[in-house]
Amino acid sequence: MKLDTLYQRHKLVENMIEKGFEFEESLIHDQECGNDWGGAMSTVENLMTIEEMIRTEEIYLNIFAEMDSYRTRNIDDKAIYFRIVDDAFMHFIDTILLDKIEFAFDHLEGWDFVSEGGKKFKKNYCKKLDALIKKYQDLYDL
Amino acid sequence: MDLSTLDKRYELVKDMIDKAFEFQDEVSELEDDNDWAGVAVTLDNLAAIEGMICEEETFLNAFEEMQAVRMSDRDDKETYLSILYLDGLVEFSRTILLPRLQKALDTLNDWGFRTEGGKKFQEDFSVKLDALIKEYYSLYEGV
Repeated sequence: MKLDTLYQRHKLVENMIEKGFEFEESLIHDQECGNDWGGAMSTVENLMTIEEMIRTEEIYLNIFAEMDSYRTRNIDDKAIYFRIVDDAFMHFIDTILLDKIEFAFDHLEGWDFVSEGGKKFKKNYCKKLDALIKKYQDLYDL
Repeated sequence: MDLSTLDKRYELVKDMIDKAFEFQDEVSELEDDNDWAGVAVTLDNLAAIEGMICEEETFLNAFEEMQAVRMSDRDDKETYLSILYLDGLVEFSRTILLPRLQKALDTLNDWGFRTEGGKKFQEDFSVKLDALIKEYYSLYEGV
């Protein structure tokens, strides 16, 4: 699972949302699946929030790019302005973005799926959420 | 409803979350799955919005810090402040926060609440979400 670029991470989450909706749909008329539907639905909801957070990450990367491309001789000053935005960025990654992914993971891991499909869904999505968490921790040294 | 400061907006959303949980307990007792689900979906949206207001605060703090830092070149500072404001705060409000607020309001408005309590919840929370949307629109869209 390649998650080195923002694009790859975003695509993964979008894909998980799309497949999650399909899975949710398949459970609606299934009498044998207990409350698996609830587990799938809440996971999709959490993923949508994660998607918004990845777009927020992109906003920060765009800010850095804009600041970087601004032509100035004051390099030392630029470093200071960069640092201010970088502090905000790290705070966002650590306390908001990672928090949302960990919340989604914990919620899914704690859900008792009864159907075979539900158990597969849980295993697959836990693996992906865990990979995302590790990637962000690795990328941003957390 | 005065929502002119971040604290006031944050407090409103926290208050809505608390009230929604309380109401959800009441609805549980009535055993109306439909209304319970309507509150659950609204709670999910409110939790996301709460996180976004925290992020708004992070941007605002960075902006203030940038304003306060003592630098010799005014033009440079204006440029960096403008980048942070337009590409950061305004972009965030426009593409992330406002759409989520709108989604929360639309989902809530479209929900067919059946109980008396559910309908009151819908009306009360619609008014509040609408007020938040108007506030954010006037704060950051009118730029």
